[in-house]
Amino acid sequence: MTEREKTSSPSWFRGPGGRRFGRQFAAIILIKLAALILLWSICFRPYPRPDTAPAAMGTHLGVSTEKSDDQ
Amino acid sequence: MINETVVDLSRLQFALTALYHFLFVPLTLGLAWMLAIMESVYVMTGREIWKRMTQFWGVLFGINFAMGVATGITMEFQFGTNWAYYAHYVGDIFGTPLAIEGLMAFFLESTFIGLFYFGWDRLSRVKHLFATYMLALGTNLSALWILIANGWMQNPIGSEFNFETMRMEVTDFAAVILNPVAQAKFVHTVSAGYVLGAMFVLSISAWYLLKGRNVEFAKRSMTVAASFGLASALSVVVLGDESGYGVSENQKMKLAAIEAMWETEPAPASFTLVGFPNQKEQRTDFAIHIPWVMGIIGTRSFTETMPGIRDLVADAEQRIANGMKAYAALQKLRADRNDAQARAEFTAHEKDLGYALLLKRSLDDPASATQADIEMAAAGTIPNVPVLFWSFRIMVACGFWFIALFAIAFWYASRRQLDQRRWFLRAALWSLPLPWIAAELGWIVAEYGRQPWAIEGVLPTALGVSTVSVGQIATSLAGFVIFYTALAVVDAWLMVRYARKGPDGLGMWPQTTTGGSHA
Repeated sequence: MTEREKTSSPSWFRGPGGRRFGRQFAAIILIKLAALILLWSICFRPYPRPDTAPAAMGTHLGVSTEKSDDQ
Repeated sequence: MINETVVDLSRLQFALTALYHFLFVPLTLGLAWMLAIMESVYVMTGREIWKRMTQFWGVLFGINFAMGVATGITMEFQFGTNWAYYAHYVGDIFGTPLAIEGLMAFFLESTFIGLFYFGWDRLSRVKHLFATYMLALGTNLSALWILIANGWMQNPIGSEFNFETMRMEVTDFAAVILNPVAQAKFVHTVSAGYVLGAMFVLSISAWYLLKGRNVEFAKRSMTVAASFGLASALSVVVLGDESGYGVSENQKMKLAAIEAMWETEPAPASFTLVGFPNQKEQRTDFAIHIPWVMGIIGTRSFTETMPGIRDLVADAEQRIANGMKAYAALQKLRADRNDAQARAEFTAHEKDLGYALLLKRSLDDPASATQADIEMAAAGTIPNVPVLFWSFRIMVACGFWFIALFAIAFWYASRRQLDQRRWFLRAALWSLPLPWIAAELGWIVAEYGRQPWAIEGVLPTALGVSTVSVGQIATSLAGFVIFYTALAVVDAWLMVRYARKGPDGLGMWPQTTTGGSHA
């Protein structure tokens, strides 16, 4: 760093206000990820995966009479 | 038979999450470049106030980033849960840009946001500035890949249907990336984000000036916002025109619906300034027309006609009839892949296969459709005209208001009179929600106008929905509403709290420069 840069005041992010902001920033993301995992576990995970094998797609679109084994 | 309630709830869920996600995205897009501009001035001049400006707006950027990040992931949940057939049918093409966005752009953005916040005292000025530019570039590259995926939904090129795998597959990846619709959407969308970012800085700075707080800080911020906002507002209108021209080439029904143009007009078509579209009667009441304008905008010529809705419905009937031939040939090919005659028939009518699939909404076997079924399916290709008509006009009106507001701001900034015009400061403050409204309406025009297609001309929306129950979707929809409402409340509270504190309340300015202390 140059001499001029060294004389510049320290970053706000290293002070108490900045550290509080950093904690809030991290907490929001972590809480949100936890909430998304919870949402996934309750609303989506219990249900079976839709069958999208080619034969099942054929049945879905009505162009095939064969049934998918996976269904 | 398709369960219409499942289709409607799946669409509602995706629309709500997408509209919510896009509350955050444009602010990230616009504010990131404004941070880069402010920090560039700091690096060039060495003036401390520009560093503090970058840090203060960086705090608000951080709140928006933290609240917005992962709100888009829920849309990707839904591709697998509510839209499994869609995901399979077009995943070979659609999945690639989404994967690149996650692997490249999002990691670029996430890495450099860490350097932006924690690198101030660890990196030299130039290196930190580089990190800020990379942050801005990352956010914009994210938008690029998402809009390449979305552009393909509007204009599906570089791909073909494979009857053996029963899905669309990439034939020319360069065509997918360089899709003109995607490129036009990208520049239009990011420009709208820049306008929003500029308005955000302009409005909050105006509030400080009205309160007589942080005056030097706010005036400099407004000057940056005025310059960046004026250039962006002019760009968004010009690039929106380009985007509209793309629509006139490959989504004629969407454009006709936006204009409530029921009949094909002689060239050049007039533009309907205002009116009240009556979809049931297929007419526009109390319409005020401006001669020639729509024809010139839509076709860039004085001689080319623009088809009206009724002619487009007739065209759809013909394409459904052709699609039924492709559908019948596909049934034969599924039974015997070596049937040469069926393959030739399928190849001849393959481009209209999606139109036959429109019949699946009311029939199990499209091959058995009567003329009445075909007419009903063709009539279903008309999107909701009044919603598109008004959404587009409100969006455009907002766009012209932004040009006027930023032009006035630029004029006052150049004359150093920003803090002397209280009427203007109030106008700037009250204009804060308008870019969000315009951006959301833009997406309503783009996506609601694409209906009944998930992929234009290829896959009807109703056929992309998973075989899930109404109860399952209602449960997840309720979960999303609760989750996003809580996020919205926290976001609004944090944003207002930090904005009201301002650089003085947060101890950023002017205390830190006068006493050397760091409160």
